[in-house]
Amino acid sequence: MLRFSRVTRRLVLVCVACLALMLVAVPLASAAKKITISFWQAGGNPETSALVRQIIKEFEAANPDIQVNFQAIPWAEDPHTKFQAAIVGGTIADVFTVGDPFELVLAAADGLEPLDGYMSQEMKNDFYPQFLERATYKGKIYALPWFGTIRAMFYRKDLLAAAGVPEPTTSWTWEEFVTYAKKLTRDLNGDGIIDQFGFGTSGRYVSQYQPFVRQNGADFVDEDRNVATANDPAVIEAMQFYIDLIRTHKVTPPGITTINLQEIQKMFAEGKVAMFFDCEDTAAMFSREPALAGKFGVGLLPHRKCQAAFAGTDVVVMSKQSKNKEAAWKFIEFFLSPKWMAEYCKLSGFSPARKSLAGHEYFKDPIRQAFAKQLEVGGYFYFKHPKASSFSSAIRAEVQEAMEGKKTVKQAMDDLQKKLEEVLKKP
Amino acid sequence: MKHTTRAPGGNVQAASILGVVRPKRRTRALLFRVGELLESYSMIAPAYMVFLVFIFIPVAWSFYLSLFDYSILSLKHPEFAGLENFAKMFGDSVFRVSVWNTVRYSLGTVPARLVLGLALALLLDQKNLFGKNFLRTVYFLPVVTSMVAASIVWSLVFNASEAGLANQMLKALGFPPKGWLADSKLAMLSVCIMSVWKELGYVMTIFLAGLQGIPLELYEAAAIDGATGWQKIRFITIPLLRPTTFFILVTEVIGSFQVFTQTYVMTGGGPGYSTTTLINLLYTKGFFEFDMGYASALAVTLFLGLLLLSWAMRRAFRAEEIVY
Repeated sequence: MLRFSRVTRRLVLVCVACLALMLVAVPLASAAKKITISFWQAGGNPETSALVRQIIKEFEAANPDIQVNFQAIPWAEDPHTKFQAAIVGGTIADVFTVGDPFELVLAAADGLEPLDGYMSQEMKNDFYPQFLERATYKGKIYALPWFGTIRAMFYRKDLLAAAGVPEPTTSWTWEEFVTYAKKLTRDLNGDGIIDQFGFGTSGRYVSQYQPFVRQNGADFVDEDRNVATANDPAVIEAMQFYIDLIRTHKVTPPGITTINLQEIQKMFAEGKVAMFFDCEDTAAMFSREPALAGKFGVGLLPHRKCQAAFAGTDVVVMSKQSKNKEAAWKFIEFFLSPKWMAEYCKLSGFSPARKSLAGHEYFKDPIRQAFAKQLEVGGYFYFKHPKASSFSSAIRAEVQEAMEGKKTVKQAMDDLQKKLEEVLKKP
Repeated sequence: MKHTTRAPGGNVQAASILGVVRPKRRTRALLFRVGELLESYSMIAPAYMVFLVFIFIPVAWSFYLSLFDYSILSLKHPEFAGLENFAKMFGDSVFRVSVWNTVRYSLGTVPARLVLGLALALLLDQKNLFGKNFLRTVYFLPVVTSMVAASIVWSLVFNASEAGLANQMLKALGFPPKGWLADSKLAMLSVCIMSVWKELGYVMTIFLAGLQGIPLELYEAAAIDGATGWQKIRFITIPLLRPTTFFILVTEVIGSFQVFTQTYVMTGGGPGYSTTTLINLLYTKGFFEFDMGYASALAVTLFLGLLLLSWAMRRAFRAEEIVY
């Protein structure tokens, strides 16, 4: 009789088991023909991607006939340009996320599927209306918000207390803002050099100075009438106020015309800047910093005629080219469900976009409440116009010249007016 | 390629002189030549396909697009616009500023790189210099560093506050702090300083390679004639480095006209437009404002400008054969 060693017998056993498994598995797999959809995220980091993968896993468990291929493209790799190329090339994902206002650009280019028909009234009512209004193009909703962001006022509690300045839990007037910013601009060691500045800002981002213009009830462009309004007296007044903070009152650190926001964040963390405007993810980052524990707060931006703060949102859209729109919608619905939206906002620090999450226990913390309040009292979105990017480059350049004192505010705004008129003139 | 030694053309020619060429034979020779050509082309085809797909076609395409009004977002087809993009470009004050900035950058970096690169190469070419390889590595390190990372580090160096390294150095020398990247008068200079530092090692390496090619006998002969160290450099090294210098000059000038990353990261083209270079403008127009036709017109203009410049440099440096 043939005798096999124990190892050989085990091997044979394993082989037989594998074969049996394959026999069972192969017909099973081919029986349930899976629909595959792809989902691309613009932005994301390892932490958030892990959560997105978990959401997908749960979705696939609940919908065994659908498989989701996920890809995150970090902001550093310019996902919007990649998406454009993919749309032109016909290889775009079924569902993808973009940063506002890119969804409007894509909707105008007829690259997106309108979502009105898919959405239940109940679901529609649960989103904050300003988000849906934002994502509306020619009467149709093309995108649903995944989360919202708003640039509120960050302040150092310790520096404000030391200078005897109250915390901005209610919105200050512009006059109060200047007075306090001056109080917070200090030479701490008496060497004649200022080493703590009241207000940190940068000429590199329109979101840093447009709020002042909006607080004065004006804007660089009147989108309803499609005309440039950069040399409107109210715009000039607001920009004069902003430039005066820098050039006259000198409450801002030196060299801010082209500075990166990260450097302002660093100065804030080091206690060299007492106040600046930024959004939720920075608050989340600061909260993880033990050295800043209990030292920073978030409050409201100052106001003049009204309150205004730069809001943004990341949205989920469906491609018009998608071949599995039903499956794609199922995924969107699941992805934006209150449960998972709450999880994502918890992780990223951003503000939820659904009303049903307002009372969520997790969002009762004062910093999150401050952002929510700012969004409620004065969140505005950037221009909707397809040439909005051209507005930004023109505004930025002229404001920087005024910041440097190469032009008066009036001159800069007159020049900006001409440039914007030219941009608007082009079809 | 086993038949190459048979020289079929020669055979055909010889045969025709004798007037005994049979048509069949001629056809066969022709076929052979075609086969040989095909063989050769198929050898270079894989490499050329890569060029074709990633260089030639896109280049030709951007020439084509420069005549169109084309927003890459609107999924509509490009609309023919003739020379409108070029007309717009020459009327655009930002374009003129960006050309001037690019020239300023080129003048601010290329001569400095050439002079400093040669000086470094001469220093590090000495025979009994201690730690020569270590020093060469140190000078070469910036070249292999990522440009984005280097730009971020240098924007910290040029921080306008007291804490910035550049300002601390000024302070130690008794000067008041400067705005550097935030000051439109100094922003381009700051970018140039950083860029010279970044590419110096590359220029140095090419010069070092050039120096290895100069025969030692020349220096020995000069030494016998009583030449000083400077005279050796002036009359032997510099003239014999002419081809190397030409190579570096051309590549560096072309490279300097394509500057982008530094200004993009460090200043975003500002303050105002003071550091907006041609490629910055091209990028902004094409990928931020989505006006691909205009961006292509800029690319075509840059291409033609560089072509002209290279041709002029070639003429000026008309290669003299160097005979040792």
